[in-house]
Amino acid sequence: METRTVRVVVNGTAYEHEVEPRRMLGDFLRHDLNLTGTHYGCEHGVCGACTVLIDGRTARACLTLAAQVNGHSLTTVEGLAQADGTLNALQQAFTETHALQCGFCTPGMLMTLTELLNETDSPTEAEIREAITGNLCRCTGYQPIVAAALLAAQRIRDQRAAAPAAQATE
Amino acid sequence: MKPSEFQYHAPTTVDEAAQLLGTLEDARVLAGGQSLMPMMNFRYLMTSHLIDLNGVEALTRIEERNGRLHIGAMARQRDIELSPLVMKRAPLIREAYQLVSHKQIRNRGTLGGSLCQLDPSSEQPCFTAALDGVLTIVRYEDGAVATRELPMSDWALMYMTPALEEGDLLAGISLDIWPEGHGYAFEEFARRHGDYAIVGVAALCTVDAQQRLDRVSLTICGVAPGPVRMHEVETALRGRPMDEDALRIASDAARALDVMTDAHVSTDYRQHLAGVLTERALKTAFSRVATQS
Amino acid sequence: MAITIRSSFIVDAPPSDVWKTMIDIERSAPCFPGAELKEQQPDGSYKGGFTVKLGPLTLKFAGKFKIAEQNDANRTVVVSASGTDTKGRGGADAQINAAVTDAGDGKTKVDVVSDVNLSGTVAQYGRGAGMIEALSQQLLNQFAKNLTALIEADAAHAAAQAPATPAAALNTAGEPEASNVSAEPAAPRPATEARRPPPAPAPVVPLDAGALMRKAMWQSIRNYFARLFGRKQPH
Repeated sequence: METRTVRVVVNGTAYEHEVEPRRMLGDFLRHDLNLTGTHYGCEHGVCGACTVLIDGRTARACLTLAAQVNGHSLTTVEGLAQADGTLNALQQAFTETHALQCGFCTPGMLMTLTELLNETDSPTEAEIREAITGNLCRCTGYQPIVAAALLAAQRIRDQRAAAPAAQATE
Repeated sequence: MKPSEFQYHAPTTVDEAAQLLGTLEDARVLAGGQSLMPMMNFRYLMTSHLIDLNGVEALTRIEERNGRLHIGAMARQRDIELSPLVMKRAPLIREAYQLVSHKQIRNRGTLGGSLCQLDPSSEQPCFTAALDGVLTIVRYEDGAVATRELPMSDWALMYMTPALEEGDLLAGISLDIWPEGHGYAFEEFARRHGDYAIVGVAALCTVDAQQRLDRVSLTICGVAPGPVRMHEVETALRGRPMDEDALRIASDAARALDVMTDAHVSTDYRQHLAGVLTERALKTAFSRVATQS
Repeated sequence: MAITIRSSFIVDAPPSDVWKTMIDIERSAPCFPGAELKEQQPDGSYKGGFTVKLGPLTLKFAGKFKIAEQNDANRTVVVSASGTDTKGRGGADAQINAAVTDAGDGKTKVDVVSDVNLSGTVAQYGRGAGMIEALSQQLLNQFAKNLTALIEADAAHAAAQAPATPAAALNTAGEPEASNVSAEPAAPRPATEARRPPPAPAPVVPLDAGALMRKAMWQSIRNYFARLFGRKQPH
């Protein structure tokens, strides 16, 4: 059976695997790379649980073939925290505002909001709500997720404001 | 929920892609994949060969040439949405893209793919028709790649069936550029943000020195297999002030469209929406016409 | 799910010719776009296939059909057909009632009422009955064209065989089986030809509805997708 070679960087680590052409990216991440943080909720692109970043842009891992990411760079939910397990600002905010209960939608939510916070450091509530329209959550009612995003954005702005001062003193 | 087996091809040039499509038996192209992959995941659609167009850089360009806006079939919807050139030359497009699905979909989805999927409720065929789109189609024949052009008005043959013969590849779309300061609006009604439009209306207009409507483009989607250009209304509005009479002419024509009912929405409702949204779109477009100093 | 489709078409030929050709399944079935007729079964039914393109999908039905009732006097016929998609996406059962009447001017009107029952995945396409109706009308229009061409070819052939006794030369039997009407030994026609053989099956080109006339249709693959995608838009 014909296979394709996939050379891809995921969360900064390079991988090389042979895959069937029909291997979906989500299955590749979960089964071939053992990165099970990316979840499958619907396998047809509507729930958003499988959202990852391909070259910095969100995409559905259930609608992308693994073969298509050959030569590209991915970020999954496993790439958000630091190596020692320290949560990033968004993740920390999620835990504080109870933005997850069962956690199934959470990886997708985090990746979508990561893209938003990369695009703008002061998202309005309306912009946050619009950004997550492509991610379904059955548990939280979205309110705490929105709160987490606002909180994280605030903290990131504060960090950035504090940082230049720190550099100036070095 | 996994696709059936297929052979995968990843051409890097248009010629290569056309040749593959023209010579392989039972082959389909993969554009953004946001409509195709769900169908393949469900095994609604099975193919022996999948030709991935995502490596054909030549199909992704957005540029202005010979007074028209040229968008490659593989240009990402998000790139078109954010393009400063598109914002300048065809602001209608950005407004329409705000209503198209979600960012995750627009990051991968392509204009060409949407035009080939030809969902009646899709905004993209609608603005393409509104801007008098011309489609460039290539095919591999007798050892060479032949090109032909097709106006958007001839594109929709029937429900979800564009005028593509077997072996044809949609390569690009060119759009009219309206004068700077023209009025534009894309109005839509959907139950939730990102949903398919139940009905959508794209309106463009310019005015004369007396603030009367001059050139008008009015297109309605969600009511027929393809977007419906309201040519008669456009002619009737020319030279009229934007007043209640003008709006009534437009909305009456919209309401009179022959729309069939479906399980979700009745004919009456769709016709009502067409009328209301037509008025809103025209009013908004008119209000956006840049006043000359 | 069950839907009833009413449609009709006009054939540019007299009712008797139309009737005769229509009930001769081996000759009329290939006129139906996308239809492929296979061997006849001992019980009089036919195995066959039907390929139709619906937007991005191509459906291939395989099954059988037969003439369930036939009334030569009234020129009405009931055909029952059933088939399943070869890729397992569902099935269809249909009872097709056709009536052939004089439309005047040497023309014939054929009225068709089809009760169609769709099951499985294909049933989801059927929810927009309007779409299936419109598609059926397209199919019947093409069928009418092909049937007319066939009848005209028959007429030309009969004219060319002028000395032959028309009644003996043409199979007017109501049975759908291969004709073996024995002619009077004295009938002046080639002994080997009891009736014109069925036309060579046209290459089965999946009905590309795009090749037919444009027509406004409303529709349910979209409903299917709407449900599939939770009414959101993948592109």
